[in-house]
Amino acid sequence: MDDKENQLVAMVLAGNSDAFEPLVRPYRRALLGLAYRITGNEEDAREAAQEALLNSYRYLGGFDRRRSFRNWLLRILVNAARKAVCRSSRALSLDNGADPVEPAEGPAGRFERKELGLRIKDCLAVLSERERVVFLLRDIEERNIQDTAEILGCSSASVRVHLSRARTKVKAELARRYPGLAGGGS
Amino acid sequence: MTCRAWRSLAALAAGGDLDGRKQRRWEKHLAACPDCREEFRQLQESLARVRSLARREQTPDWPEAAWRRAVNRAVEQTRRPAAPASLRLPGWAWAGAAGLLIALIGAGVSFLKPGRAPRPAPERSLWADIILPEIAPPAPAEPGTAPALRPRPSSAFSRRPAAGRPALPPPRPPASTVMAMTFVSQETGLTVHWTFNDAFIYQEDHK
Repeated sequence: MDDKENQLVAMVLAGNSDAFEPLVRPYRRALLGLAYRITGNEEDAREAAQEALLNSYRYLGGFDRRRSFRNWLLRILVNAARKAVCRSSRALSLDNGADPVEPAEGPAGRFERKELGLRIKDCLAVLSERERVVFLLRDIEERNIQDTAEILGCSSASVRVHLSRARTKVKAELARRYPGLAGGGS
Repeated sequence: MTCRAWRSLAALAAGGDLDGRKQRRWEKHLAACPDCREEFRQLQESLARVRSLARREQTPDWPEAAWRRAVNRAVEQTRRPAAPASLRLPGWAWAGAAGLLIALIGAGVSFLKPGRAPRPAPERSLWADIILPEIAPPAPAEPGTAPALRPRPSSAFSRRPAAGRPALPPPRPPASTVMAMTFVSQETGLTVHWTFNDAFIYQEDHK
């Protein structure tokens, strides 16, 4: 954890709640983006991100400052998003949930982005919950194996096992659904 | 190591997730095995496709106002309003009160347990007073006198109805123990007596 984060954590713990916003701001997009990919819709993603913010503020006193604040925050987020998935039957459904519209986005861009989102969801739909989260963190969010293990609270060996299965399944699903997209088209 | 075993490593190798020693062995096998090479190539390409799709897909972002609201809500909801000082008690006080309450409830339950051994019956029970008139109607009382109660006939304890007579309720142990509490006000001298049956249980067939 860098010195600035350490200082902000100390300020929040000393009772300065204004220091919380600059502490979490660097992860603003990552929080909502990862929650969106886990839950599959924006409404649940916002709810999970809100819960992650709340829990991170509430339990900041238990954070080990020798470790990565980002990983700690994402771990809270992943747990909140998993709970949101359990609560909601909307997860990974293909046609419901609010569409994350950017204000300046035109219809063509919106259509293309939606198409891309659906393709990714199709591929991830064949994965188990654990495989999906591992795949999202390692291959979509591009965290390394150690960070992924730390965020999920498991061993690197466990991450490798789930990652290997996930990649094999995604490759087969991509070839089945989108032969033009998958490499080799086997 | 067979090709099947090597291919279990292919998915990890495609993302560069093998450790140094395994990676070198994998590359050595790959140079000699065209089937594994093809499998590896397909895995790498599909992974690259998904990553590319994910980069092009825009994930939602917080509008600035929504972000501020979310952070403020987290801070505000976590702050608990402090209880007034008069209501604040140390933890041991709450624990002690809870322990005392549990002990009182436990003592009450064990004292009033219905399965206790019956106590010696008094000579006449309330039950007999009520039932007797049904099975043996008393003789008409003389004016100005209360009807005399007869002792229960021994057949009254039988569960089988006598011929021509209505069935009796099953016999039950007679209510015996009486508990009484007396409260005396030291200021006014007012005295209140409370008397309890030891069962404390309402039973409909007492009627």
